[in-house]
Amino acid sequence: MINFAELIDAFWKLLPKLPLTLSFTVLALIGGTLLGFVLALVRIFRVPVFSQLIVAYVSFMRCTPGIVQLFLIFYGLPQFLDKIGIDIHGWSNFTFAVLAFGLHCGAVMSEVIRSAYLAVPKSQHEAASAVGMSYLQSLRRIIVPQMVRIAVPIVGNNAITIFKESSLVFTVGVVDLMGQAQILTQSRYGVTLIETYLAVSFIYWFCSMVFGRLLAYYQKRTERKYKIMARKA
Amino acid sequence: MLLDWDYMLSKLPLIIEAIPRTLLMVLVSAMLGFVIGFVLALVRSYKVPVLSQLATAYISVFRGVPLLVQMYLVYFGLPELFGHLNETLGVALLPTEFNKMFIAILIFTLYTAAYQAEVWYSSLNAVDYQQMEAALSVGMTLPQALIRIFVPQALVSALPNFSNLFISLFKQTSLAFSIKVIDIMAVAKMEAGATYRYLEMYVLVALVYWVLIFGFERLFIHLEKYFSNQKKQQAVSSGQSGIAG
Repeated sequence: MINFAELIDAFWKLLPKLPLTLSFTVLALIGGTLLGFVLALVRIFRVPVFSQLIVAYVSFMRCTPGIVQLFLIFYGLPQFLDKIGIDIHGWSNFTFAVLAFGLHCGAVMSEVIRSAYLAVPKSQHEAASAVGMSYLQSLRRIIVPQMVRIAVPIVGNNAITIFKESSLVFTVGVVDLMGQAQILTQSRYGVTLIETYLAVSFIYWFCSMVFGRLLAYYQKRTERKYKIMARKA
Repeated sequence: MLLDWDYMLSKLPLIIEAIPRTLLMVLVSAMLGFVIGFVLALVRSYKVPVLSQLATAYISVFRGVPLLVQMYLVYFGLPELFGHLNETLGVALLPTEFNKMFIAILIFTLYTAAYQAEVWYSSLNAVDYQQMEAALSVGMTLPQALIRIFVPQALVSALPNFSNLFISLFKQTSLAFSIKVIDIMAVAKMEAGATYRYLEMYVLVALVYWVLIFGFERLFIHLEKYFSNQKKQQAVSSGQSGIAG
């Protein structure tokens, strides 16, 4: 029923597209982290008006499907900007896709960064300033390292989610793993559809699994370090 | 005007008509996934030989593969698999044509069950093991102890996780259009394609999703508050009886 020669053939034809999917994920994450950092700062310092706007923005991003956001950016944004006289029709599909995912990721990351900041006890700030550190010094030496420890597992899980969700970008014409799979099946009139998508699932599964394992390993290591430190104290 | 609100309002009834189909998919698969996830978590907790390994593999695969790929595989693969089985058996025992809604619910159930199993597993294991000893010592059977003692506690602590999964499932059902289920996303996509008013249609459907999912989010937050208040009250009353005794 399943032709294994076809499966392996599809696998080798798909593999060259994995770097594109991975770099897409990394770009969206980096963009999202930068945006999320700014958004989190605005919310932490409760900048009036902007803070409320960001709450609405995060809620919108959390409560609407990724595919709707993608279509909104890819189809809607050029039409919208046309009306105010800006032409972005020339942008590549890839740019639109990164933009859509970056905006989504930014909303998620802003909440992660904000909650990590709030999770560090206030006494840590006070202790840092008591030993004469400036606010920025205490951030860099005391607060941020603790935030990283809190945020890494969440960010890692988000990275896996973004990686899997990136399979949607073929719907706007980016030839990633899924796009390549579609081209492959169409070129064979759908005869090898099952084999091709099995190969696709294997690639996605393998990458998510390896990354998940790495994340669990990292967590275990840092936890152990903190346990030892706690015992010494 | 940046957006043609009249056009959007005129298309709203079409989208509202499709809401029951979206809700049907979400609610049915969330509930089935809830039950299957519980069974999978039990199988893993009690390390049932063979089944436990199968459950682990199932969870890993369904969590590691994008939903869209799963949908294609089930949508195109299931009829082929059943057709093949019919051929080898020589009888037309299994159906090779399915209701699209059925396929969609099947996929979403399988998908969410894998995630819910993880939540069940960690929350059931977070309940103090001594409670099991206490329950068994007062004469409860194992199923009784599980249902009466373990599940309620696990549910309260895992409610935020379950509500996150529900919201994520709700959003994922927007992919059902790819296997030709006419949900709210499919209606928006067809209308947008027919009139070239992508901006208006997708803004409209985004707003509809926002309202629906935001509503569910509020509901879950309300439930969480209710349960944590109840827990506090119990703690207070047991504290008082402790003083009285």
